Amino acid sequence: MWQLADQSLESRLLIGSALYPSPSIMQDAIRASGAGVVTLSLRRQNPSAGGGNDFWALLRELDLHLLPNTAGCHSVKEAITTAQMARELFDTRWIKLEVIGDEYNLQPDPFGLLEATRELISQGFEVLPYCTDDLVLCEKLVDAGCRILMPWGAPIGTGKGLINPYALNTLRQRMPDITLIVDAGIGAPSHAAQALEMGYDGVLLNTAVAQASDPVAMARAFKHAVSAGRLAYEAGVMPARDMAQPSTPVLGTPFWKP
Amino acid sequence: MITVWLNSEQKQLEDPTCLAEALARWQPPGEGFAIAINDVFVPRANYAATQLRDGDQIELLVPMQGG
Repeated sequence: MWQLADQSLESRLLIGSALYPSPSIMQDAIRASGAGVVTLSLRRQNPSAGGGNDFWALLRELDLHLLPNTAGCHSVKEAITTAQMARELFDTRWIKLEVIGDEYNLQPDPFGLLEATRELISQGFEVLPYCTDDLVLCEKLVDAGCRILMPWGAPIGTGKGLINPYALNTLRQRMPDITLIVDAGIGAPSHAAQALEMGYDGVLLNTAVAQASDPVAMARAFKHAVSAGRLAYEAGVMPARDMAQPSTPVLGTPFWKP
Repeated sequence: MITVWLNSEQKQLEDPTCLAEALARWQPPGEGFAIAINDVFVPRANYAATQLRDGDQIELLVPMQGG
């Protein structure tokens, strides 16, 4: 078990609810993932886009912790209002805070994110900011009161994995007491394992499962990858070396001649 | 009469009309929605006390898939 804010969770995988081929596959995949937290959003009702009460009923059947997001918000004002609406609708003070600064790669706006974070924390929210891997930004988010940070692995939906392991590793080293979750950019189970091996507390992903040829099987693959990554971190991964070192004992090497 | 906008769709209402009355007329889906007017969140407890004004932009949001 591990602690995410005030909740004890078994799985270190957090999963999204979008982009699945069908509602039933969404349900099956989320169940197969073993995730204890599912992300969702708010939008104007549009029958052709799904969502609404039918989606809401399916999600409630899963009985998971809900993490609403502010996806699509480009201003502090929009993000704050969306968070307030989400708190009432989903009856949770958790918010995955997104303030998008660049439409091309959906990169978070660090300045707007920090401003919105300060305001929402003052209103009693548990803010889980979707942020870049910039150390100074992350420090300021912690100073603002965040207990959890969610730096990107790569831009949303790209599946490129951890494109800057150095920066992510630096965050982990410099913030040993903060819950760190890699959010976005995870494409393959090996990427998730890499984040957990690095000491990240969890990963949040959506597209990698939802857009797989077999989302339910991929959800299982991620479940195992996250467990394996965490186990490896706890076991202690050996340090990398530049020079070869034989694993077979040298003593008694056959055909040895002095 | 006043003109308001519900999710960018033009609506005509008697003046005065409160948000609770307007919602009763528009019949949104069950309890599963939240409201903002002119980009400001309106808690459910305030629906009856919120008088709509000409030109109000009402945002009615429902649960949706998200990542």
